[in-house]
Amino acid sequence: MRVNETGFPNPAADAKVKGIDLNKTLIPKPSSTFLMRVAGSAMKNAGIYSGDTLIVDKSLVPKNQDIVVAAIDGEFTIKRIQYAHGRMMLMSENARYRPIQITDDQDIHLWGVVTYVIHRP
Amino acid sequence: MSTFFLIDCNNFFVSCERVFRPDLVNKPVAVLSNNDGCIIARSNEVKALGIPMGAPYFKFKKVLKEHRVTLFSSNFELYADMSARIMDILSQFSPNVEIYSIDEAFLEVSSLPDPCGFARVIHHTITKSTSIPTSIGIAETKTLAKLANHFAKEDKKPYWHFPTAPGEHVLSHVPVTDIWGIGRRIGKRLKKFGITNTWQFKTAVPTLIKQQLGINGLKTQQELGGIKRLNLEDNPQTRKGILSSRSFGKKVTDIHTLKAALAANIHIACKKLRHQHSHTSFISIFIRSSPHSIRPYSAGTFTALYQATNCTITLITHVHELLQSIYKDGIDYVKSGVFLSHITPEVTQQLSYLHTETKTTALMPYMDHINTNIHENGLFPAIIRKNQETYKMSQDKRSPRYTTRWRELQIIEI
Repeated sequence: MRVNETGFPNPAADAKVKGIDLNKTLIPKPSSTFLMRVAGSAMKNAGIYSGDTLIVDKSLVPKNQDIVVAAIDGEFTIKRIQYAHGRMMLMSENARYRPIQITDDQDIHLWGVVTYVIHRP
Repeated sequence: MSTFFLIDCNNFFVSCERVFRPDLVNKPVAVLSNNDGCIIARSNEVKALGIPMGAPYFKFKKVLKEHRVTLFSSNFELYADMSARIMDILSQFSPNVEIYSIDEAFLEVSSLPDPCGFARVIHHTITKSTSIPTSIGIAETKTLAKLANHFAKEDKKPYWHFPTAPGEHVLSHVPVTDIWGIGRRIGKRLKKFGITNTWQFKTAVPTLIKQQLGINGLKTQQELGGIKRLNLEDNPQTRKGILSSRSFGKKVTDIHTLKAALAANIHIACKKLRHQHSHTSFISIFIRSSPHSIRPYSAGTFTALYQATNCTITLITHVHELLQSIYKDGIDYVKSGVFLSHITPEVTQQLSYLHTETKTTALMPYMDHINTNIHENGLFPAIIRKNQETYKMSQDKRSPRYTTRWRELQIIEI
């Protein structure tokens, strides 16, 4: 430990580390990460509110229960993935929308996985 | 033994626009240049309509409308950001990356047992991470990698590999102008010697090639034969200067607005100059009206500087002096530009006895710091503001800057 003028070493000196960098923590893969904004409340029950900002990583392979940004018939939407019995379904958190099964003959593309949601209370 | 990979993005600007517009995949899309003047990017569907690269927009307006082509004004912030992401991904595959242009890069990797497998992973990673489709050329020299890339594109394949230098049966079908570094002008010259295809070029007498195209032509010839003459960062052409020019949104007639426009040109050019730590000691400017105008006028002039500089204020002063000698009254100007040449590195300056570190020169690093780190365009020569609405270019079809502006993120409606 280094000694200062008073003769007492600073015990905190060895523990000196940089502050928390949100960019590094929340966006570990910047080249495949994109930000998008939500308009509408269909995913309220998943904790995603209108006006929120989504951190979306395109490089991740969607796992069961992941929230994903999908392009259905050319339009962006947000769904939850459910793998069950060998089938992949896109669920909405809103009872109004029926689950969609992903099959080859549909125009459905999983654009990216939502890793974090930024909400301003 | 090293392998070169030339990765280039397909219809790059169009592909960037499609990332955030999944509804436009497989639909005809084109991107227009500054001021929506020319077509600078076309999707495959638009290429199939026979619309050439660089075509003037107004000429093809009707055809574009008939075929419901979606048009965009250039969104350079978006394209630059997407490019940076792709180059970053490439650097994860190898430390030996040379960024050749906004959408092309060379990779050099040694002792690779399966170059095609490597290319497949690169292709897949870029597609998955960014949605941008790419073509990859693989060969033992840069020139051959460029050619292989061209083959991949033509055949709509993700990659193309020349394990050894291609022979006559391949090269005799390739026009000589398809070779990297050989354009139409040189192609015409070579035609006089009976060289029209790449095989003829490759097997031509080396002294003829050296005489006609210099040492670079010779290197290209050898590279086509599989002999490595170009390293990463060696290219057939070298940058000779920095050009900054803009077409105006509206016609400009007064000298004060022209001064503002030229000051804006200098502001941009000097930023690039300082970024690469160079100075210029030769500057030229031009102003012109539309060639179709009732009173067409186009003029340029130049000056050498006693002391090389990259100071925006100093150069604006020079440029305004130059303008006095070519400005003509009563003309509808549509474009201005500056060209900075005789570029020298900052360090090796022959200090003229007239050298003074002026106050303005000292200001430059601070201005750059503010503009880069604190507020974009926070600080600039005030004269640029004069009548800016007139000369600033129109871009009303530009898509949102999805990846660089907090307020312009893609909105998902649910």
